[in-house]
Amino acid sequence: MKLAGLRADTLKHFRDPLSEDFHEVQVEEFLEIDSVQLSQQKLYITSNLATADLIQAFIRHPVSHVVQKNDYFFRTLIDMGARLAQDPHQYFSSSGEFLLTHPKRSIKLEFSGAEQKDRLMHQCEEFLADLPSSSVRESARAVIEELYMNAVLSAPREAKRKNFRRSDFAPGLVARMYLAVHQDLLVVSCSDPFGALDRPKVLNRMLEVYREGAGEVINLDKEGGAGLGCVILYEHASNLIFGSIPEKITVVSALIPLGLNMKQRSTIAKGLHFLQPPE
Amino acid sequence: MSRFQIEIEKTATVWNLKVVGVIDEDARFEDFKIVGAPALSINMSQVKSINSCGIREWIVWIGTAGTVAIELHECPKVIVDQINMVQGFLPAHGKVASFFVPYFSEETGSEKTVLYRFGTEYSEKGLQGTPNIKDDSGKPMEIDVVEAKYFKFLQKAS
Repeated sequence: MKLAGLRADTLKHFRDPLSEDFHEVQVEEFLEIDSVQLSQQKLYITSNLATADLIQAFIRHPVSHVVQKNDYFFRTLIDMGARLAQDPHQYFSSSGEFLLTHPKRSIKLEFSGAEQKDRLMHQCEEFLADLPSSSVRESARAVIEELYMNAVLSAPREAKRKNFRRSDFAPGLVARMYLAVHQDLLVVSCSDPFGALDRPKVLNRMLEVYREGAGEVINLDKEGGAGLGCVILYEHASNLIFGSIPEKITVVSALIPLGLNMKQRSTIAKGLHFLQPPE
Repeated sequence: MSRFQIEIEKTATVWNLKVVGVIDEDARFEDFKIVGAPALSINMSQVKSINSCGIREWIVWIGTAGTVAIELHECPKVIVDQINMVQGFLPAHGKVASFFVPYFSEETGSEKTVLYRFGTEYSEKGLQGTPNIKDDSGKPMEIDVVEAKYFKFLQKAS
């Protein structure tokens, strides 16, 4: 790893073999968002950046990875961020499974239409039943709902709007929901076969909701979604990872902290990754 | 079997409703007409979840009641979160008559939800203090939400 500008309390997290596994990853820490030009190649570390300001940074800069410090699982986030920065291909090819290694348990489910929602939700709830915290289960459910809707409703609609070759679940095409329990985190990852995610559209919409209020900008028309899904994801997850290869695949992942109460989870500064399509 | 249902009991002065299940893109609010209701008393305790499409469906539906008095009872956290996040989720002429507050025990890790009622734990002036809650082994429990955020709607109402 190539480290730049790391503070002493940040540097201590890099003092072991972790750095040796990620030769090509450049890591940089910044304190003030207005004083840096963020670039695509680096893994950035900061702290106490408000969610709306983080999203705005991703709008203004071609940045891909920002991790924010916390007292609970910062080291896990560095590891994940480095893996994403070093080898984004694997995020797409694994539909998010490679985000965190060695899960305690995991499940992978396929679905391809609205009529399969009951089955999908039931299987997810069975998987989540062993988690001791009802608030985590509730957050996971909210995340799964929004990821499901995006894969089954929003993504095909957006693909059709963009005149992509495929814009519906033809036979053989599936979306995938992946859930995994790790020591510190629950991973919920969803992939769809359309690749219609639009970075500026998603980020600008999220910022609009945060700045102006959900009630002011909600889409009340029957056509299209309400436009609140990604913000709802962020209300329940500490980190979001987006990646899309046009006309091939979109993978969206949410990380929900485990072992913390709701109040503690609410105070964690958010992290964000928006992967560029591999060349 | 439908994942969404509204039970309606009509009287001359108020329609008592109970919303049950999942409020999502498939929730057929149009099957439960509230146009012409003299007032609405809506129990939300059986709402399991609500997604972003469900928020929209709810706002459109509750708007069809017009300007009659609307009271929401026994709102679970998933509904309180929407009341706080989405202006218009609770109509301007609506009121929260009671809602659940999550509590957590740091010692035992146990969770509990406590019902806060208008006129008891809160009033038009806001929160009237928070009750002392203990878990099953008698250990004190703390409110498990960011209070400024969770109780924000009480400030707007006052």
